[in-house]
Parts: sequence; structure tokens; C-alpha cells
Amino acid sequence: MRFESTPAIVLRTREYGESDKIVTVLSRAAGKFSGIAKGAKRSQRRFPGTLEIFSHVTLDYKRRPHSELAFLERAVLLQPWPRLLNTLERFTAASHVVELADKMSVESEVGDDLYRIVAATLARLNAAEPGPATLRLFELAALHASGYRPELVVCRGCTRPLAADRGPVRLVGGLGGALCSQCRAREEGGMLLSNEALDCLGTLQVAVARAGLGNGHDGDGGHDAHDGHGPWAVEGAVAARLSARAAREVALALDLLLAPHLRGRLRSLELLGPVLNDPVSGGNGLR
Amino acid sequence: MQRLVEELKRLPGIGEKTATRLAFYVLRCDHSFAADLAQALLSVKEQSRLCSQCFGLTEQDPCRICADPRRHPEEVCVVEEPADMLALERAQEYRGHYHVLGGALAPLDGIGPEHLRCAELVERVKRGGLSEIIVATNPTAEGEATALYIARLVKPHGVRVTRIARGLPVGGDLEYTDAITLSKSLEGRREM
Repeated sequence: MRFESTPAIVLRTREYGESDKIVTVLSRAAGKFSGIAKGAKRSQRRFPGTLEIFSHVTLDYKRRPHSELAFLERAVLLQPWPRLLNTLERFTAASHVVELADKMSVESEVGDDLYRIVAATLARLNAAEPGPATLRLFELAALHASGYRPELVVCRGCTRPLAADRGPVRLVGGLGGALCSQCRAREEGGMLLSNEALDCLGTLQVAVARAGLGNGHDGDGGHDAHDGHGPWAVEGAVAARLSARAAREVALALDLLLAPHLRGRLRSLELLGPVLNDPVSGGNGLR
Repeated sequence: MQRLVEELKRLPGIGEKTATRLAFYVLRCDHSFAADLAQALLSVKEQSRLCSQCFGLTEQDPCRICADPRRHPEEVCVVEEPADMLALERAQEYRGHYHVLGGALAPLDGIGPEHLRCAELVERVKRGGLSEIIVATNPTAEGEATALYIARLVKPHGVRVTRIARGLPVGGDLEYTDAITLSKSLEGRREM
């Protein structure tokens, strides 16, 4: 067994026995993996409150060949995000981020794009309350990072530019994009998407691509997460011109695009969305 | 013997080796120990139930805390599990009543507000006579989220909601304290 070390974000934990914890992390160097932290509940020296969900840590671990579980040796806090627990809105949004990252990734699949996106989004949520576009930007970036960038510019059927279409287009999750008003009769599934919602999705997609989220060019840990740069810079502008109906449409569209790539249903927004403030979206624009 | 090992293995944290060790221990002990153990296991299932007021474990309803006239019924301390209630009782500092939620919000594990005894807490508040709700959920991410939710639920009814303090343990040493605990203790500092 050899020791390894990597920055990582805690996605999930569960208690095991008297004082152990089984922890699933998304790491920069080794993708998603799970490990057992022996004596985690007792050892303030090796795990000083650092194996909590959303923790951004430097993780020391060792692995046996062919073993599914790593042995977690130590977790040192890398970047505190204490304000994620300041409001129920932030907690719910952050839960959605780690849950989506967990259900979209496969263990032992190496690649740091998703790690960078999750780190940047949690840093953004720590900096300020989530807005109507915060989670949509994250979801689009996660799709980009996983190689499922949706086609929102041209029709999946005839390759005609969708922007030239006056009627609603049909978004089909399985196709990973939309069909124009002429081709949409070919498919029955999916959802009809208004021009306003399509335009908003396009703006968000351009912001994600420009910021380099999802293709490995973003900085580590999202230190610039809320300084007016990166994809978050468009949040305010998108939110200002987005009607409540279009916001709901965009959220449903992203649900549809994500669904084929998720292992299991996303539950954070479903369970906590209804208890938040916004009656339209079930929670401060989160949904 | 094999049956006992199999049954013991069903307990949390007990694997094959520990179950076998415990089974051999029972085998070596005298008959009265086995009889007492069996009797204790049966009676805990037959006699223990939840208190209809605080949802703590009890053998009589209401429990001895809810029934005690010397305690302050206008103060209610909200905890996650009955074990937390026992821990607070050991401190011998709190003289109010309790409300056991039965867990904490954990959306990733599928535990939402409807899985906890939040509605029952609101009912208690609506019945009136409460001056303070002390939220004593664990200082974990899930416990903090639950505390936020309880505050959001109860505050509109005009009851004071407080959160137990977090910070340095008695006998602790600043030099060896982790960054999160230190920042929480600074955040929760108070006038002297």
C-alpha cells in the first residue's frame, strides 16, 4: 500500500460501527472514490471536523490493489465554506450540487473537471445566496464536464439554427438537444421550450464555455467564484430578464437533459425545495 | 450456537468475529446471566414506548420528565434522538422539557421535514404556553440545517428560538483546536 494525497470535497458520509465513517469524496487527483476513516468520530487530530458533507480538504489516504474502499488517514481543511450552513437556501443548493456530482460520476473515473466545477460552485454559494441562475449554471457546467454538452444552437434533426425559429422548439433529453418547430413533430417525448427559455439556456451555455468551466481551464478551488468574473458574472443579467415561467422552464429543461446521465433520482431540491420561501419555484429560484 | 451468532451479527457494528466472541462469552457465563439478558431484551421491547408529549423513550406515558411538576414546561429543548436527551440530562443543568425529532434533515439520504416530528413541534407551539425553544441538534451539517428549519418553522408563532453554543471544550487547548471550532467559538463569543 502506498500513501497518496489529494484535494477533495466530501460528497457523502455514513457512520460505520462505533466510531468509523465511510466517506465518499470527489477528488482532484483520483476522481470520485469512497474510503473508510477508522476512528473518525473520536480522532480530533486526524479528522478535526473535516469529514462533514461539503468539506474541502486535503485528504491523505492509502489503497490496496483491487480494494473498493481506500483507507483514509487524515483530512486537513483546505478551504472553509462556513456560510453554506448560514441559511436553508444555501444548504439546499449545496446539497443539490454534491448530490448531482455524486450521481453523475462513476468511481475510479479520473478527471478533475467536475471537481473544479463543484469547488467553484460551493465557493460561489459560500459567498452569496443562490440566485435563479446559480444552480442552472452549475448543471450546465456539469453536463459540459461530463461530455454531454447539450446542442442548443442548431436543430438535432435538420441542423437549422434554432435562433431563427419563431415557434417553440422541442427539447429531447435522449437526443441531448432540441428539434426545431418543423422537426419537432417527429418526436413525442421531451418538452416544448419557449424562445425565451431557449435564449436563456444559450446565454448560460456561452457563459459556461467562456469561463472554461467543464473543460479544465478554471482555477482551482473557485477562489474567483464570486468576484464578478467567471460564469457567475452573467447571473444577475439572466435573473433580471427571466420571467418566473421561463425560469421554471429552464429548470425543467436541465432536469430533462441531466436525467439520462444520472444514477438515481435527485432528492435535495425535491425534499427541501417546498419548505423554502419562493412559492413559484419552490425555493428562492432554486427550482 | 450458530443461531446466536447469526442474531448477534444483525446488531449494528457487530461482525462475524465479534458475534462469535460474544456468543462464546454467553456460553461460558452461568445460566442466570443468560436469563437476565434475555429478560432485559424482551422487556425493553415490551415496555418501552414513546412519550406522547416529547417522543422520548419511556416505560410510562407521559415520561417522568414531562410528568415532573418541578420542571419548566415553558422551555422546550429540541434534540435529534432520545440518546441526546439522556446526554443533556446527565449534565443536570437543564430543567425544562424536551422534543425528540427522531433524526435530522438529510436530503441526500432521503430524509426530509416530513420524516421528522416537526409538525408535532409546531402543534406544541400552537397549543401555547411556551416561552423558548432551545435547538440542540448536533453541530453537523445536517444538524445545523435542521436547526435553521426549526427556527423558520417556529419563529412566526412568536416564540423565542435559541441555539446551543458551539466552541471550545472544557479543558481544551487553543493551540490544538481545529480551525472550524475556533471560528465557531469566535463567532459565538459573548460579553463578560
